[in-house]
Formats: sequence, C-alpha cells, structure tokens
Amino acid sequence: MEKLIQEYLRSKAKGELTRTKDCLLERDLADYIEVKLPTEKRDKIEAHLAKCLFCQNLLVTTKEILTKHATKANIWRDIVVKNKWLWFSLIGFTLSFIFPRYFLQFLLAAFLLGLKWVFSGEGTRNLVMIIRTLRGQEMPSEFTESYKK
Amino acid sequence: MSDIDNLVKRCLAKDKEAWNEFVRRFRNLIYQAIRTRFSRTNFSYAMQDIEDVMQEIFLDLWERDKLMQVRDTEKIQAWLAIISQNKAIDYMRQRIYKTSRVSSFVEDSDSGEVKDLLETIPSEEISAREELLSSELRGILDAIIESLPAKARLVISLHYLHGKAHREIAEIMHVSTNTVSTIIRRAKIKIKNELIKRGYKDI
Repeated sequence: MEKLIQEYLRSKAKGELTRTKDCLLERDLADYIEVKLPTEKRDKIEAHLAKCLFCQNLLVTTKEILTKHATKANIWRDIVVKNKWLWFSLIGFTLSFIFPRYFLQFLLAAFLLGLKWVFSGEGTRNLVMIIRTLRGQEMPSEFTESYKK
Repeated sequence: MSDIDNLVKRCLAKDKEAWNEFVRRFRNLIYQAIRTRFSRTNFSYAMQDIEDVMQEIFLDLWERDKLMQVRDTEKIQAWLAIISQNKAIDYMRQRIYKTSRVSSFVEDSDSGEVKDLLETIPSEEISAREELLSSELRGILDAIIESLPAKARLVISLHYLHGKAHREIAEIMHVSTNTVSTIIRRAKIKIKNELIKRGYKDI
C-alpha cells in the first residue's frame, strides 16, 4: 500500500521540474518557511504547493539547507543549552564549597539538578545501556545496531 | 532594530562596509544552497560553476538592489537560500542549453528543436519499476488523491515522495507532529477504502 503510493507519486514526478507563471514568489515561499503565517495565507500557499512539484522541491531543499546551516552554526550553543541542568548542577556543587555554611543544601540542590539532567536529557539512552550492561543483560538489537557500524 | 535588519538597510544605502559584512556572513549559506541544488539535480559541476553563480547572486543583491524584495529583513536566510537555488537552476538550464545545442548540431542536425531542458535532468532517482501501476489503477489514484484537501496532498507528497519524517513535515508546515500523523493515517485509510471499493482487494 505504502509502496503503491510511493510508486504512483514518483511516476507522476517524472520530468515536471519546471517553473510556471503561477509559481510562488521567492519571498512568499521564504515567509512560509520562516514564519507562521495567518491561516488564510498559509492555505493559499499550500494549495499551490500541493500541486506544484517545482515549488515543493524548492521548499524541501531550502529547509534542508537551512537545517544543515543552522546545525553547523549552533553546535556550541547546543552543547550549552542541551546540558543546561548539568551546568546548574555544577554551579550548585561549586557554591557548596564557596559557602560552607550551606554546604549540604547546595550539595542536595546539585544532586537534584544532576538527577534532572540525567532523566531529561538525551543522555537517558546511554544510561539505559549502562544499567543493562551492569546487570549483565543482553542489549536489544536497536541499541547495538547503531554501534556496530 | 536588529543586527541583520540594520545590515540590510545599510547595504541598500550602498554602505560598502556593511556589504562586506553581509557577504562574509551569508557567503557560506549561499554556497551551500548552490551546491545542494547542483548535486540534487545530478548536475556535474566544478568549483568555478559555483563561483559563477555566486557572483551573479551578489551582483543581483548589490547592484540590482534585489534586497529590496525582502519583506521581513529579520528572516532573510530562507529567502537567500531560495534565490540562490533559483539562480543555480537558471545557470544549469543555460549550460545544458548551450551544450545540447552544440551536440545536437553535431549529432543529429535533423531535430533542431531543443526541449525544455530541465526536463531532461532527473529530479530524483526515479526508478523504472512501474509495472506495479496499471493505467487503470493510476487513473483511480489520480481521482482519490485529487479529492483530498490540499493540506493532505502536500503532507502525503512530502512523506512519500520526498521521504520526510512526520516530525520534519510538522516543522515545515508549522503544525504538530500529531496532526501530520493523523492526516497521513486518514489519507491512507481513505485510499485503501476507495481501492477496495473498486475491487483492488489485495493491496
């Protein structure tokens, strides 16, 4: 069924990659990608996109280019933002030494924030692997597959 | 007034320094856009081709004031990526037109006609396995897909033709992933039911 739809769409997509005079303006398509336009405008643009493979193609590649570009630029910001709980935890840990009077309080805070990091981040997957190994269990295939390569 | 907004305004006022900054900042994006478009169209290109297109784009932006077209200067990246790709497409069209004119002159001078040449470039790798689709089935699918709302048609196309995941489609169309999944599921059910109604049971 899925294959059928795929084949059908592909056969329709053959050699239709030309711009027509009805095609979207560059700035309209840009707006569609970058901002959440009012519904009426979106519907209009989507109505064209649904039937025009040229614009569809442009939409898809533009999105890909932007994503690629953004990931390159934001790699450092990602490291900071994605691990924010870890940073908070470290700050709490440091503070516990700077203010010995509240040593335990800060240490507890650091511990809780650390837990938050462990359970909310993408580190969970690694954690699951570690726990399973410690218990001596077999790894489910989807975990090991990606590491075999 | 933001950074980029300010930069664009100064570029339009022909501030050379701002222009240099603009080029420095967006050069990479434009480069990547052109390259992606070239390689996606299976166009064999050299470094020089990319440089040529880039030169054209910068000329458009600086000398022909194309920057005036931008509506929201905050969000200039998507627009830049789009105009870069369009320029790259024009460039490929020109190049293929030229070479095919030469070769058609050499090889078969009978057919002096040059077709619309982008058609000769495969848009994706389209397989030739079409036996699955009889013309009757194709007609039925035409009718079913046509009857879906535009939004659903776009989602289906992004998913099955362009191979986008539900999450990616949601991001492109500014809707939730659940919405996308629902649209795909409903469309699939509809197609299936219609096909069964017309006697295609084993699909």
